[in-house]
Amino acid sequence: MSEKTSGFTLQRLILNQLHNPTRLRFLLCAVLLASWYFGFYGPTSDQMTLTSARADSELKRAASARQIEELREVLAPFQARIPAHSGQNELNQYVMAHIRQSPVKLVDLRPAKIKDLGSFDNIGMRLQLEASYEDLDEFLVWVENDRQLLRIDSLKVDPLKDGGRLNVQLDLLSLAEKEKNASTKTPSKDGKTEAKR
Amino acid sequence: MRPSWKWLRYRPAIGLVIDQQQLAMSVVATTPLGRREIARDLQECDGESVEATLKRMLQPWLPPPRAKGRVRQPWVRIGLPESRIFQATVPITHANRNSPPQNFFLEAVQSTNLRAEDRIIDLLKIESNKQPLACLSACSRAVIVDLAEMLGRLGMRVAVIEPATMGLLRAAALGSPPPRGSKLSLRFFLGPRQAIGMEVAGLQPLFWHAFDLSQGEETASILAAYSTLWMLGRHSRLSAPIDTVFIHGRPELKLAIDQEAFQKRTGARLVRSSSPDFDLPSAALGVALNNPLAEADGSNLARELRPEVPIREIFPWADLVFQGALAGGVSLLLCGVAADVDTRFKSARAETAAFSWLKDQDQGKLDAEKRSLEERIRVLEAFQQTRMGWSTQLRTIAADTPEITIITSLTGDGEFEVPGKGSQAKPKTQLIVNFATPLTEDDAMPGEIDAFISALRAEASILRYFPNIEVSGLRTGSAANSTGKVAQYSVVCLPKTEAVKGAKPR
Repeated sequence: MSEKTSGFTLQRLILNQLHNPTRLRFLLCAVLLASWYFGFYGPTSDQMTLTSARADSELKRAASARQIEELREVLAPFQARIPAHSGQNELNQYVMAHIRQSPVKLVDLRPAKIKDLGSFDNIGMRLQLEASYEDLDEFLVWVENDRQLLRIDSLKVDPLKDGGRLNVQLDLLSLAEKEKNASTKTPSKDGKTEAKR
Repeated sequence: MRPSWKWLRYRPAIGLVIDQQQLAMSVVATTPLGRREIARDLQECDGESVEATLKRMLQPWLPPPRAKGRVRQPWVRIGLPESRIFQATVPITHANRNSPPQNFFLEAVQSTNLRAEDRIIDLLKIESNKQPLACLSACSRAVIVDLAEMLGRLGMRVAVIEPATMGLLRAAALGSPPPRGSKLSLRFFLGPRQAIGMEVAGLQPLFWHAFDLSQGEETASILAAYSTLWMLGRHSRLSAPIDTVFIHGRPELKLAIDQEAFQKRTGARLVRSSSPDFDLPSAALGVALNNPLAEADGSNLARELRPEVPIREIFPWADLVFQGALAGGVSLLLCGVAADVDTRFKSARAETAAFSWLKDQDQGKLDAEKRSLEERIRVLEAFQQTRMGWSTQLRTIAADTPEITIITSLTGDGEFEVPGKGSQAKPKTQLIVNFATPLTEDDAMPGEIDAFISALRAEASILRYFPNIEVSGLRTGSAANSTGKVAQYSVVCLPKTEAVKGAKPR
């Protein structure tokens, strides 16, 4: 009973306060502003912020995708020069196969230590050859123009005592895809292959 | 009598001044030009009862009966002539400051044969020049109650009953508001034969004094009333001087005293205003201008009889519409911005949809892939671009070498520089070719050497990789497969940044 009375009194008190036009206008303004803010502005603003963030994210993704496609285009010509299943062993076989078909005489072949180049492994070998000047030139041209990406890091040419022949030592390097070369990452230091034509 | 443009009016307020034989009515409403009087009426009773005359006057303003629901009765503001209302202003002292209105009334009338209980007494406490004052209005309870009942029977609700002089003052203040800073002023309202003077603090009348206006003696009468009101003020301890005197009405009346003389005599500035006259319709207009439903702090003899005012009747609907329109406008603007943002998002989605492989990969994955591709390209470009063209160089050297000169050895280094690993040692890059050229018969250095070196230095294919070409280690000796003496020397080719002394001939 007392609760009802106090509720009634409170209601009367509020109504009495609202009979003051200034207070009534202030309350109206406050109620209108609050209802507009919480009912419309807040949700709309939140939605706008979310949509704007998503749009920014999408634009960023699109920009990244565009850059990736450009990078892939730049990479494509190189990619063709690195065989899919390339590794130290494959490189050895590939070089030996070429030497077998050429007049160059392979004296010694030692695989080099594999270097980590991030996405690639730098594989290579030290070759000792015997060849005439013309054969050496042909071999160097092959290294420079072959479809597989090869390079010679060091070259040492000394004439042999039997005239016309040259003793050639060179470091031949290539690149291999890292994951595909995982099994042959650390070749034996003593690994030595010799082949004679 | 009701205007045809009634659809333009908003919240009409009816003001009535009820005299013994005359009734005046004024209707004020909110129009596009502001709060304006939209109707006015003055009627004589002519033997008819006041109720019947009032019924006739108010008939157009009564709402039409409804088939369903309760008809909302219009509010009416009532002004009673000054002759029917006792009015006084009593200074508030320590002795009477907590007294009830009845005590103030008895103090003002200074009489014991008047019963305060028979009257409705309205008390307003104000302050003039730091002097607290009690403004009293009193009227017979029977008169007030009868009026309220009569208007109730006519379908009206009484909002306020006040002295008609309050209405006159309100109507006068509409055209001639009190000067800024004015503390005490006098206002005279002139009628054809009678006038009333009023001492006013701000917009609150303190005393009034009605007097006759004899033809030709109007100025003297006004000055006499001025003195009377000044004395009444002094009696109520009003110490502030009267700063302005307004004379309203009778614009054709020429006063016998000009403004300068008036100010010299009274010390107050004289302001002449053509309206309002001292008549009932002007008072009714002022009464109608009262807004007792919202402003409850004014004088009101019907305060205790007034029914409760519902909030909806004083609700500021115009404010609501204005603020709603404002909020609506801002909301529309916001909707526009939101639509723009949405369009931007859709456009961005369309842009990403063009990359079929993209799917739902997040930015982190894309960044990682981009970094990986950049690194691969950097490695591959470095691997290819820093390669030495050994075959070309060997051919060039062989072609430029004089026939008598023998290449005894050749050592070339063009180490691969791992990109992005600056801390590592500088890769070795050099080309050293050792030559042996037979000396001339007189053991002199052959001139072909100079020509040979000059030719090498002009070879673009060598300069591309080794801009520095120097000769070192020049000495004489005998060649392994030659019987004569030979000049042995080394040609050291280095990149641009390296000095020739850095290379060691073999």
